[in-house]
Amino acid sequence: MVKIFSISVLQAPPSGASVLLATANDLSSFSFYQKGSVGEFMTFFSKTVAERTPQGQRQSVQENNYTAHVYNRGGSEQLAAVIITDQEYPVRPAFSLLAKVMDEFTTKVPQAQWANPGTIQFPEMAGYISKYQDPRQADTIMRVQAELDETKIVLHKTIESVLQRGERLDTLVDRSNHLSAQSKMFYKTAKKQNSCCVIM
Amino acid sequence: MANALVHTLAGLLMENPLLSLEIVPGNIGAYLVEPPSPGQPSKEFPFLYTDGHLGVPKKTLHHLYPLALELLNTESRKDQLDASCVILLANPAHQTAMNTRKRLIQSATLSAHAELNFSARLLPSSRPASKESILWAHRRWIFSVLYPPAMPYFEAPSPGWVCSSEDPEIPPDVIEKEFELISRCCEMYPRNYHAWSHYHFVVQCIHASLRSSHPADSPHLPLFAVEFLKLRRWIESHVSDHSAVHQFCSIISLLQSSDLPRYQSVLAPLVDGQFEHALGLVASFPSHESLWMYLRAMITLSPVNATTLAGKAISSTAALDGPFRQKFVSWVKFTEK
Repeated sequence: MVKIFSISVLQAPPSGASVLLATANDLSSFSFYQKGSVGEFMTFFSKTVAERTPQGQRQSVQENNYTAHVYNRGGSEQLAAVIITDQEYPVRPAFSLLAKVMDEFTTKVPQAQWANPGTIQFPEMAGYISKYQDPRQADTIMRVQAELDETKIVLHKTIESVLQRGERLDTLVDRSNHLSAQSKMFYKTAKKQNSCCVIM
Repeated sequence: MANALVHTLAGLLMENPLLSLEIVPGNIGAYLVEPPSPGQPSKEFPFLYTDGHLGVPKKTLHHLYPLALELLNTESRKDQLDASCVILLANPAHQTAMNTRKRLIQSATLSAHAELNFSARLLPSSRPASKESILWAHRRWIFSVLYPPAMPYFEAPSPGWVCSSEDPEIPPDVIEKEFELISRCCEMYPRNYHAWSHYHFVVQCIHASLRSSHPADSPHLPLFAVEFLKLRRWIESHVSDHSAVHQFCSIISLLQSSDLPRYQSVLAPLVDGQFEHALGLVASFPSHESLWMYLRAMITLSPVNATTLAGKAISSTAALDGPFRQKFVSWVKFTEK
């Protein structure tokens, strides 16, 4: 399936926690009782990879059926964006979309508002996620943007490989304040039964 | 007490209006709310049931499974029926439970319509259920009980199609729901061969209905056209779904050899332009072999100008060098000999 599950814009300072500024999810393919937990994990996954991407770098992180593409634009704005797709969504349209979303975000939302993410209005995000479900729609953006040097994108085969030494995904999940007890239980059961693809 | 839970769950599965059914991980303990309130999961009602969505905790289900197996062997038909519901939810490949239900339909204890409804809930409830071949076969059996065959004819219209006098004439609104069910199951379990085989059967039934002595304004005709375009869109967003591509190509070959009434005005225009469609998809997703096979099929299915199309395909994919294109080029060379 060629599918985008989530797009987020975050403020990612070089050290410390990132702040989620705007996000949109398409979780229509998940079942009723899973949707909530999957949504929480999308945010958790986005924040985790954004915080571990050095400024100015592009990375793709695969985890089971999902791929998170992250672009940390850095600079004084310290802005990063993450798109979570399935394995079939092509890489170039994903990164073109990230650059476009960040450009649009900085023009529409003044930086003064970023300190207070609750007040940010960025409804365009929902439009992006539905329009670019078909990656061929991104052809027009790609023509405008400068050629992307794909060899500079770092590809990680699991999320564990972006974590710092001594960090473990299980511990991060366990300690996270953004995941509900039920989501943590879903994660543990899925992991124990090796039933990938559902939660994370 | 525990047996009562088997009956409660069976009641939920068979009777209550349900929007969705799923198996949720863990034990009911993880879902209990404080303080206990009516309608919420509790020790006495260990199921999640909110706004018509039913969630059955996996451990609770596995606890009920051996009890249901015992109940299946009792004399009471009601017990057998309820037990089979629970068994099939936990283990969709349980042939004995399925046969019990077939017997209950034959003895008029269970209505075939109710069974069609139950099976439509069961199929998308879990990944193993979505791809369970005997569940799909059971559905085809119910159709043959419910609907008489369309007018018989015996010749197979096109390679890959085995239309027979057995194909039931299914009403268009039921067919529409059947296609929706197939899509949901293919989302649940991607590249779902058994669901796509069922799709093939449904198309066969439509074709049989169109071939039988019906007036040219049969409602099956516009339905066929709509579903054809839906399948085309499906391929665009499920680029590694080889079974979907195969069904699409089979339908095109069926339509090409077709002598259906109103074929020229409604169905013939659909067949044109698929070569360009395949070529466009290959250009956008060159790393998916199923699309290269789609391109091959579109060339084979145009026997008149296959050589021209093959040449065109080779020149316009020149920039997409990779193992799949190399295979494609050697295939073209081989077929030209």
